[in-house]
Amino acid sequence: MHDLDPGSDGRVIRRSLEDPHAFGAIFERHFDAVYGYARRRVGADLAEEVATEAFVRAYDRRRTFDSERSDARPWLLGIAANVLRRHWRTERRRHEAYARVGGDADAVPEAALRSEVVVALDNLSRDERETLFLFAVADLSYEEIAEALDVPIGTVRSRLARARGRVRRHLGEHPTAAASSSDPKESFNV
Amino acid sequence: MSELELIRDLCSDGPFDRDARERVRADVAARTIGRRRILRPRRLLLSATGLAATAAAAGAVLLVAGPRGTDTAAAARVLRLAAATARQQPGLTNLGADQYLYTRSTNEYLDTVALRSGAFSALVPTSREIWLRRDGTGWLHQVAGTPRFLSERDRQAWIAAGRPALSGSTDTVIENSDGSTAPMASLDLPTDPDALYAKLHHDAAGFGGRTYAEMFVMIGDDLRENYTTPAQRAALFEVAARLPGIQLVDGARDTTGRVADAVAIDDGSHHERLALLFDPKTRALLGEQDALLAGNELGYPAGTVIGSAAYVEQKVADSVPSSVVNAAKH
Repeated sequence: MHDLDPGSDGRVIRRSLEDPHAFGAIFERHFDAVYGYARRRVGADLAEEVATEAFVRAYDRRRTFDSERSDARPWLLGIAANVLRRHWRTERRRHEAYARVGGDADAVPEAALRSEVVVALDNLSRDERETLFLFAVADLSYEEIAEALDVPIGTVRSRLARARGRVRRHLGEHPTAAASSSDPKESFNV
Repeated sequence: MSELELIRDLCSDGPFDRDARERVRADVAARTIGRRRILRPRRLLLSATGLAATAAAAGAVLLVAGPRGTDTAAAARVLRLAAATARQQPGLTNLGADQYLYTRSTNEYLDTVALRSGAFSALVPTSREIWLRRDGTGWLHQVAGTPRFLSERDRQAWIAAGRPALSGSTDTVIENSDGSTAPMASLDLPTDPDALYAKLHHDAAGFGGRTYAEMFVMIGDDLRENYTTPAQRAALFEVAARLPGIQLVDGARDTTGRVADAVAIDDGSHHERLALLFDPKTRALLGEQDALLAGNELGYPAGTVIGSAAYVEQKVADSVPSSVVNAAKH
């Protein structure tokens, strides 16, 4: 694959239709974002498989990418999110294992809280969960999530509101889980 | 902490493995620029285990033997006869919203596996059964056979990797997680050859010098595991007959050994010759084949067949076997 290309992502992807090697620039630009997102969700080993699958799908579907867009990151993270949907069971087990790592007595409430977060996430629909992860973990804006998942921005808003409300309600019903509203992205909430 | 902070905490991460980028880059390159997609429809990727693979008859060097004298005209004639035949065939029954398009085929694909110990390519014959609803969701059952290697170097790399299993049975739920990609685009294909040509040409226009090869790929995709009416199939063959650069190639056989008329087009960017195979007597479409041309990046000799598929059966089904459904859930 080629080295980084100075053009916008849209132009590079457009050019890759004729010169497939040009797609290498997209890989180099966005590998850290895609792999990093997958890694935070499913761990290092599976993240390589997810990142590979995401970039292969992106390459196969590059014809559908709007060449006027300058940044392919939301699009690529959306593809990665779709790949990750299939790995929720694995991801859930990973999160559950992480939730149990509180070894000393002081950490027990924290572990319990984490466990309840996992349960709350498991109770969400897949669409709600992916939207919430893109917002909280990938740090995408509403507009970028809409682009990533190819849904209207209003859908993003409603999915996020539902997902966050359900997680809050679940945690609110748990004695160790008192979620506050101190998050800096809170101001974007609906 | 807010629920967002709790989720971020749950998804905390350690330092990056510096070699990860290199491994993923190699694997992506092998699965993209290292091969074309006609024999690997998007849906197949959903079933990929990372070690799935494919093949061709060992040592098969069929499609680069050279075109016949009147190649383009002869190829167009074969396609137009196929179109006439297709038009007269009885169509499948209507595909209801709760029904499945069932397609059974035997496939042989080249796949490259990139592991920490190195990369290797293998050829594994695979039987494939797929049940698809109109919305693109469904189930896939595949059984991979004994792998073969295209070179001793590949075989040694496989041994060095600990002889990972390349064969076996896989069952997969197909969830149409491809976002806006139309799952069964063939449902809306025009039956008028002029309109269909315009549509495919528009869709492939961005491919520059590969436009006609890409149109050929699209035609193969639409014919494979998609619901098509006799009129749509006829139109697809009519459009293929109009593509500049098509040629009739001597000496082709499908994966089951049947003699075939091979209509091919060269993809100069990927250094591959793509072919549709037809029964010389019945004019029925038998399958597809993909062979390397000189200068290919895989480094194999020109004429090496790196992918093939034989269509065996297609019908509308009301249900999916419980064995497939249950296996896919675990």
